[in-house]
Amino acid sequence: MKSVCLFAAAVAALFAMPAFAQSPKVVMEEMMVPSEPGIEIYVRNKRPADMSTFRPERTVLYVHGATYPASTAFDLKLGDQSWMDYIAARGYDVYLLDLRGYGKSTRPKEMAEDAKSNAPIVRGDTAVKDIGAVVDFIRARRNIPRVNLIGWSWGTALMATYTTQNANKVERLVLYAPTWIRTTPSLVQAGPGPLGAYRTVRRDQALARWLTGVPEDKKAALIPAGWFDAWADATFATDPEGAKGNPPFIRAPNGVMQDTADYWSAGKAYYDPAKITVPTLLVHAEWDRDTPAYMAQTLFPLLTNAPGKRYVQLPEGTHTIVMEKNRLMLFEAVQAFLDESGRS
Amino acid sequence: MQAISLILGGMLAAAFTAAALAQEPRLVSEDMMVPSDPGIEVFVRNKRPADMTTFRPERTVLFVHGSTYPAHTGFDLKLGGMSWMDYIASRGYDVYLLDIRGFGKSTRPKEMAEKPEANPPIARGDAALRDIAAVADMIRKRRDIPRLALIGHSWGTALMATYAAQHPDLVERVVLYAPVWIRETPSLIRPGTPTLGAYRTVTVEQTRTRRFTGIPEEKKADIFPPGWFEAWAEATWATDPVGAKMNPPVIRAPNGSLQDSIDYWSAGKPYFDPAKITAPVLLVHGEWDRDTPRYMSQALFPLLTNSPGKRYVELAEGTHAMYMEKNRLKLFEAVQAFLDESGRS
Repeated sequence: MKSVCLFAAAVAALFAMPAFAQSPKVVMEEMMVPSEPGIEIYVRNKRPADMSTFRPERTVLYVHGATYPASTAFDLKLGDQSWMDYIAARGYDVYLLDLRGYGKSTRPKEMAEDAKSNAPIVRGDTAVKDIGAVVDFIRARRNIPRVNLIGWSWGTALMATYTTQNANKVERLVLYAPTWIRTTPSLVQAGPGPLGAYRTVRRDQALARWLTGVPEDKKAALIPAGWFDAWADATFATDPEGAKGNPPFIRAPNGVMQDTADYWSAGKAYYDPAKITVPTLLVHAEWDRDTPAYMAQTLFPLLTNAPGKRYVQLPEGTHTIVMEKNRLMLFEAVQAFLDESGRS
Repeated sequence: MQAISLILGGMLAAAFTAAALAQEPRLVSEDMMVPSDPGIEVFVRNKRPADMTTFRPERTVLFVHGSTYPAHTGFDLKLGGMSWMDYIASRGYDVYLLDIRGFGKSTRPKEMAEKPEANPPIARGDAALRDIAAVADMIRKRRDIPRLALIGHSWGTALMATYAAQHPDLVERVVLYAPVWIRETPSLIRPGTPTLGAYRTVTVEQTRTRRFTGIPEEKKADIFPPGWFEAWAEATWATDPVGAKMNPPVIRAPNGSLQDSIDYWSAGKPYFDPAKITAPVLLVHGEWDRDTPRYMSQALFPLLTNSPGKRYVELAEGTHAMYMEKNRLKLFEAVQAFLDESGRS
């Protein structure tokens, strides 16, 4: 009789596990991590509530692109789940960070002044310092030697650069919408005149840029109802100064614009892909006009020392496929690549 | 009490058996000859789980080879105890391959018994497509299913894509492994004679040279695990009884695909209209492919304007023949993930 009860428990466990694996309870923590003096970096962590062991291959850090912070895209709940939730639910310890000048991280003092009063702030070398501070924080906190890195757009240049400099701290590298030498005009515009410390972006500008490159007959169905507003509401709320504007705006540091002018648009690589020695995934969607297909396709062959590298192009999506109808295809492609690291 | 034990015991057994079975189901293999044009019979092999009783379009796959070697010695070559065909079948698929006329175990057109220069190229794309259609029809009828998934390799991608463009209602998904498109660089395939004859002959050594083209020097040594190339060559050269008697032994390969290449791909003309394909399409190839270099896939992908859920995947450290190289599992996984999508929801 007792043994039957034990069997029953085994059966329960057997059937409960698959259900649990679908949607374990995910917990969230937010923290500020010191970078350079006076600069604190906003970091968010999500992981399964019952996670007790931490491994490099099950740890991920995400960083955003040139204009918008990390949390309002990577952790935006759409259809009840963010990309961050999706990864965490699969047994990962997942982090995101806002670079200084973005989202909830310290705004450098230049952002309180007129943009024209200062040179572009938060150039790549500065941003890579913020990333380094957060990687070291996670490594110390979990007592692990390496983490996986995901970068989006400008964030791909940052994560790749960090990897060339810190190969021993990186498990795998995911470059979503990778940037490379630019042979077509950029969609990110800073306005006329010399580059100031930062630029401002309105909601309507954000939408126009988002939909560039989408065939006319496909525009209506690309972003499910309410998703753009959900993102824009969350994103434009991250800038208390811009929120007071009429119309509201967000401020975005121009360091990335200066780097683009000095490197990508000048035909110069910002980092040496041959110095990347970890498995690397390049993934983007076919209608991406911010970082068009030719960028990933030029970069891929140059990753001569990245074992198990992969290039995946997805259908019917833009630079922002992460918040479009085909977002699951992006999640699945990235997840399959991350999960490979856990196999034998 | 007894009832509880029975139920619980039964459930446990079922749960564990299902898990174990999913790993390694027993496969059955069937070979058959399918009539195509009068006098032409096409060799077809089928592999599937032994206990498979229901057949569905999204779990049925047909594979066709490229311009030189037959299907069964590549797609169904056991390496490390398992062929690609086994890999797919063991995941619950009803899997078929075919040798086009003039290749492998299919009827050799009579021109192949004559000197190559005595006749123009045989087995051009339109003839090959009739062979594919005959086999696809046979499978649809045999399993009573409306559609099936297609995998083509190299020249076979042009054939399968053309079939999909002509018969959108008969195709579930299309996998184009090492896709061919407009050619801007010289082909690695030699016609053999000054003017294109009915067929060409190929030696193992010529193939070995072609197989290593494009691989960085320091990577050449370990691209093939020991014995793999030899296993493939032995099986492949054994398919041509006439060629086997020559010294050195050769296989004969119909030149129809080469004539098509000259008239279409190398002349800047597409052989099919990608916009007419309405099934999901996967383009996949290895980074060192010099037979169908990446610029072909890169040009083709944006033209698949009506293929929902299309995907383009480039894999590391593999050539045109990646399916029998050290990284073949990466190819199998990418293709499988794409095929499996069709069964979801």
